[in-house]
Amino acid sequence: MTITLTINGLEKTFEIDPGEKLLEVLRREGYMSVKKGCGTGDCGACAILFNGRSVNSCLVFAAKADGGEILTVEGLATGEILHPVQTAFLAEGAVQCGYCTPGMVMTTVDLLTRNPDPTESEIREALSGNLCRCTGYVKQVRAVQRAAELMKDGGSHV
Amino acid sequence: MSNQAKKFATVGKSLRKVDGFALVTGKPEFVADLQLPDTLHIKILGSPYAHARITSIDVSAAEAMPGVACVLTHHNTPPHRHTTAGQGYPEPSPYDSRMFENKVRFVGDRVAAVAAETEALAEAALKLIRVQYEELPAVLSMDEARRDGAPVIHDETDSPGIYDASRNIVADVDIDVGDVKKGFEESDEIVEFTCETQYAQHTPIETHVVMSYLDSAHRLVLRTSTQVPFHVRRIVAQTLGIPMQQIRVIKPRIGGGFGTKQEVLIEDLAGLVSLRTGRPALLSLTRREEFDASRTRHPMRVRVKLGAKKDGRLHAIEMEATSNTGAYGSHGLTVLANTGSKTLPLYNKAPNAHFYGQAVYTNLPVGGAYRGYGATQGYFPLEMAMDEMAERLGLDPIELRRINHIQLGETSPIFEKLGEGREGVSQTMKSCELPRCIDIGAERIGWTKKRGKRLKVGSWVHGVGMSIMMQGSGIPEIDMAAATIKMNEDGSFNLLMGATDLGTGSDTILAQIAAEVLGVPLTKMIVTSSDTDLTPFDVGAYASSTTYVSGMAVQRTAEKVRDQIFGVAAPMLDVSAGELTLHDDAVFAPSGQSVGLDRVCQRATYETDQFQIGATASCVPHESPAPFLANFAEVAVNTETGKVKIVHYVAAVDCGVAINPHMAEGQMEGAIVNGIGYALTEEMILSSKGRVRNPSLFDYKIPGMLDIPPMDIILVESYEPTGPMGAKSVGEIGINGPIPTIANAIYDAVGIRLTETPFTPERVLKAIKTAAE
Amino acid sequence: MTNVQTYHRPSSLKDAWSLLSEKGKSAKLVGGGIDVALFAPPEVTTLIDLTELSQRSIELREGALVLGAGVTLTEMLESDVVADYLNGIVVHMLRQVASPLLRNVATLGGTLASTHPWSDVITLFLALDARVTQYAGEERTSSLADLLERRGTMDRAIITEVVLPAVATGTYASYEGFVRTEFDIAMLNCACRLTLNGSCSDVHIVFGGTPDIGHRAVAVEDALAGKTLSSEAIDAAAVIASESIPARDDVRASADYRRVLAGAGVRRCCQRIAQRVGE
Repeated sequence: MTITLTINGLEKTFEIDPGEKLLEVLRREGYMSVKKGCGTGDCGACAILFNGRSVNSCLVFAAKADGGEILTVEGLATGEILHPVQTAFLAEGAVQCGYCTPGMVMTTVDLLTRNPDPTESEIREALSGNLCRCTGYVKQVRAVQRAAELMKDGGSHV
Repeated sequence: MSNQAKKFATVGKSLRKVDGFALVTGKPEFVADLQLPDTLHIKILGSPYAHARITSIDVSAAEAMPGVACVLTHHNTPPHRHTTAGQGYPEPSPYDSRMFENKVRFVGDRVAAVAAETEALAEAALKLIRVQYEELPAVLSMDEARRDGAPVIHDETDSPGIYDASRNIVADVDIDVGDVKKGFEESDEIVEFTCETQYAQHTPIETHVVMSYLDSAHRLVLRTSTQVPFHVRRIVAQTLGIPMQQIRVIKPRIGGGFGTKQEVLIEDLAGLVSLRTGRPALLSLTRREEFDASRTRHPMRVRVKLGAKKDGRLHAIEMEATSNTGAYGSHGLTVLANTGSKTLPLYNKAPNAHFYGQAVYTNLPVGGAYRGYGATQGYFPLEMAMDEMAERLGLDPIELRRINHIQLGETSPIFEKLGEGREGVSQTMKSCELPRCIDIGAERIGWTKKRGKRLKVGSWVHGVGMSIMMQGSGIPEIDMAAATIKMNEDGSFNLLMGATDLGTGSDTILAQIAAEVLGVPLTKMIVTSSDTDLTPFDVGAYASSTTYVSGMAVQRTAEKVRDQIFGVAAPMLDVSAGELTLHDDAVFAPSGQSVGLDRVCQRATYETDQFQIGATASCVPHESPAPFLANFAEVAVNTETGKVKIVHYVAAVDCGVAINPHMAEGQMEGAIVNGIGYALTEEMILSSKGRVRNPSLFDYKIPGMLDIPPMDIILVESYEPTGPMGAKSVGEIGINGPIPTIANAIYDAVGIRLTETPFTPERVLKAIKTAAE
Repeated sequence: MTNVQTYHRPSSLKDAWSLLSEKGKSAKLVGGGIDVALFAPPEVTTLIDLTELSQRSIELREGALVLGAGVTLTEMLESDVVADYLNGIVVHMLRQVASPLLRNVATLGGTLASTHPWSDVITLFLALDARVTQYAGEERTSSLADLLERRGTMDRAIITEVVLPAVATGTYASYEGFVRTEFDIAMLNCACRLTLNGSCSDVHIVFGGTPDIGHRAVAVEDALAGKTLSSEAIDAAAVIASESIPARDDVRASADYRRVLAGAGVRRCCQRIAQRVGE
């Protein structure tokens, strides 16, 4: 069947199998930032924003998303100018292998859009569905806090 | 920044990772992110039985299915025995694996593989494969394995390197110092514990994945998520029976390893499919296969017996380890040996020591390398016994450690008696800040204020515990690392190294070392790593070797290049080369006159006595300097439900000079959290038929954001004279802390000694109730 | 999901129903789609996505909380109206369900229809006397408890609305779930709703994940009925809970340990209520 998605601001139409999930479809369309970690909604590596909310793309039927808006990591930076969340993750040393990073970043964007000044507890709760095996989460929490500061300053710099 | 590091320009700074931009913008840098046309997808058929012979296998229906390109079984694949363990050649692991066999030895063991146009087609084809099995009695525990008359798991005649296959014993180690029997007789106090650790899995968020294809010269390219690209090349060549030079292995960005990717697990399959079909082939293990059929932590039973004199000095230490290596012997000997070699030297004051043990086969998931590598299992009973001994002697646990732990300038006879399964290498500690680690950690946790107080808050009882440990940095006299640097005429450098960055940040750290020597900012280094065609040899990322061994290779290479630069610049500045210094992108004469590195290289490239400024250097380490760690934890135990909450965790670590403090902290933070999962919630649960009952993150619980205690990681700097810029290592040691520290804290809180991990609420509660009776 | 051949997004309840009744067992309803994505059997070839039915209302009607089946768990969690009902008990429970990513997608109707025995939503909504309206050609409303008795046919009708009834003054609720890590399903969960005017009346206690689906623990309810919430009464009820729940072993917990958790759950739920009353 044919579906239309607005991905990172660009409207795209393509063919899918009716049973496919957003994860497979997005990767096939070249959005490689969307990672598969488990395929069962347990790890959050595949997280993207669907109509503004962070979701496990491995569990959302692509057909369900028809007509909707998708935001992936590829849609965050403008050329070399990073989104504050990306800047913060780099600056705080919160990226080790980087495999969980796209999912973490998108969930963080969701959080900070809704709650620009989250407490540490709110940060941990918001990211509780994004698993990481490398970092122990310590610097990731700091990165979200730093991103919140950067976004309050209206900054979005390298 | 540390005191030592203050005199550095680049080293000692938490600079941003060289691959950071690519990772944070989601660039297609991982194995499965490369999409090639005509790629085949491979699926593996795994055994439903723990132990069986394949009496017949009929793949005709699968082969005939449209979209299926090839089907592999033991009938049509090379029979060469090899080990899957990514270790230096000749590997200290038995050659007991074949691509496919007419025997299966654990639930999930390879039976067949299908390559098809899509994953779905490959899976459908698997269902068409008709297999007849003759089920054999299965060995489902270490004790069963060694019983008289136990089924022989490796009854084949062509697997060399097994200690005693007829008794399912992969490896046997027995070393001693002095006479422990006499030592115990002479001791005033004796303590003994036997601890059992569970099956656990690394769960890197990216599963094992390989993409293979033939390049234009018809060479086989393996783009794989591995910690050991050079071992992959050698072992795949051996397994497939093709010349090694026909293979190129590339490790791009990978999503974590922690030891499970120190293994040549799937590259042979993909490689053979590409060779047979001429097409690219992608094989990605499912999360379920990661649990069933990749590698695990070795479950172990470890007994520690300590004998001490009244004054607190240890007089005898005995450690007996039995390790369950699963159906294949990969890393069986070496993990067993490291259980003793990374633990016993810590308490070098004991004149009598004995380490012995065996690694045994079972028809269960296969143990492999896992961060900590035996030391994790060994420190559990050792540090628990020390805790108990302190109580018996009326000493503070910290005091008992201080009396007995190895100090700067000291050695232990264990170092040369026990290495990677064979003899080791003698060494003295040239850097050791363990005393300060203990001081800092004790103060930070509030040790004297909290120990023995059993503060009660509702049904929660608080307690504090501690442990100390050491690890190593690389495998002395065995590991080798090399690097190549070439200079470009704009003053930038290409750094080519075999060293393997699995997310650890080694690309960055090693480039910082090179940049430091060459007097340039990190941004002037262009890093290429882990490509067997382009980069010189490196054993790979294991044994905490990358910073210490690969780093020294990089330092030596950079020094050679620096000398060449001085040779070119000397006539330009009209001084002798020996008077020159290198910093801020330029060469400086004593007068202050300088010439930019770009000018130097332009001269060497285009103008006078032209040559390529560049060099290669290697490093074989002659010792394995230990990082040291003191762990402290405050826990709260719920006496109603048995739940253990970590209130505060403190780790003070001496890793030498931290080349990049953020990366070093990151290693500690990640290792500790992994260790906390191993201590409290992670457990692969096996059925009575040897099947994994919880092969998913849904029921194998690893820590998430809401499970992390407040943690203090303190880098306590020392300077290791044999290490690059004074560095040692930090990759593994952190994971060894949580189990013994939490166990000792639980004892302080509720007076029970838990000897089985994980410390689930159910186990804790049962122990509390039993103690009350 | 390789067998799915058609994906419908009907825009009316009637259309959705006619598709469902036409396709029978080969069709599955999709709310958020999580359970369908994970567990749908191979004979399912048609998916019927209810998103366009837009059953997203959340309102208080004379004290009763009326929820459209299509609201996501996140929408409920963020709703002031939901937070107002019974001291925010629904929000308190939802915080413990799955992860924010899953809550952003999972719908109330889908969550109930999944009939997962460890479902926190089901356990609490049973204790709160939820009433569920389904459409199967015509509307019918039943208690959630009755609906679960017939759960084999749960997905043969379309859940449209769920109502948590208005409660008498002096009614309190509490909820406790016992997990291994925080992002986890419950080894056992426990929900309590009772009216307290000096002594307890109208006591509802539900245990779920025993590992069976939520059931009223009548023996425990009887133990509390007519008593004050003293620590003696709570302890006695906790003991009865441990002894009476239908606990079994599974990969997450043993039956024995579940009995311990049942006692702890009752104790904590009741203590929390007693504390709130005391304030």
